[in-house]
Amino acid sequence: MASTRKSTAQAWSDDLLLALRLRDVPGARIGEVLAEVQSHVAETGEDPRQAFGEADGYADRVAEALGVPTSGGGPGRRLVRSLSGGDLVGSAVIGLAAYLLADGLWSLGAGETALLGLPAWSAVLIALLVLGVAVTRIVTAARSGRADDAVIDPRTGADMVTFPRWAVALLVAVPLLSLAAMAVGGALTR
Amino acid sequence: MAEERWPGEWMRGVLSLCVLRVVADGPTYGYAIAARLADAGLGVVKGGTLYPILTRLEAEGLVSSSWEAGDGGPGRKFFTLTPAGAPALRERAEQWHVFTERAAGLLSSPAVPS
Repeated sequence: MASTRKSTAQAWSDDLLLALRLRDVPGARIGEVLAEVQSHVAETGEDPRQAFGEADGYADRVAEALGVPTSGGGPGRRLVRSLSGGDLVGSAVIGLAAYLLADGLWSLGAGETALLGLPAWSAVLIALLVLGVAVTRIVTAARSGRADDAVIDPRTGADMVTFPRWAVALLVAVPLLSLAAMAVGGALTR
Repeated sequence: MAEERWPGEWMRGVLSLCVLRVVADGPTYGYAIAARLADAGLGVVKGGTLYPILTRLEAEGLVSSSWEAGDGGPGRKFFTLTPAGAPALRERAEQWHVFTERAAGLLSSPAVPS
């Protein structure tokens, strides 16, 4: 697939996008900045790093020019600070439910009837229900977040950060295949 | 002409005003502004320095911007002086003249041997 091989200019632009997001620069403004870079390097034939320096440093200057308050610390710290207690609880619930589902599928595959004192099928159903609710919440939140503060190309009005179909397919397929493998693995122990 | 290189602190002081002056000549875009500054003998101004200055001028309401489609290219962002920009440019340019005259006056006074 051609789109997976990125030029250094595209990689620099992606770094800048992330650096601006981490500095809480509004999405529409990020679109302006990315379009300015594209337009400038097309005109001068320069490499973005040559004309604008390191993506992180340039993001600092843009945030300063916009008067966006810069929270201190590196990108790692900023990312950690942006996580809420709800995110952590959500992660723990998803992890436990996924474990229960995997264990339940294994038990069903192996022909065992009980798991943790529950019938194996009911453990699977409970885990499926919890996972379903959690995933729906995440997808809903991600969609509304994107609509609220999308990185809009000022020239076309298009969303500049598209989530490619193959990425969606991968995100759905990997967990499903893993769970199927659990049932198969259980069946092999019979 | 040899490439001029001025001390960074001088450029930081005057660049914003010079950019405002270039935009006052009519709608223009980033690369053309940089070329105009280089022609004026102010040296090479990189995109990484120029665009944050334009962003700040726009946030101050002194310039406005709009995108124009390029011929097959990624388009150009044109900057225009706003009605508030004209008096601000006049006032700051006058201040700058006074400032540089005073600095030049001091620098050209003969050193008094003690």
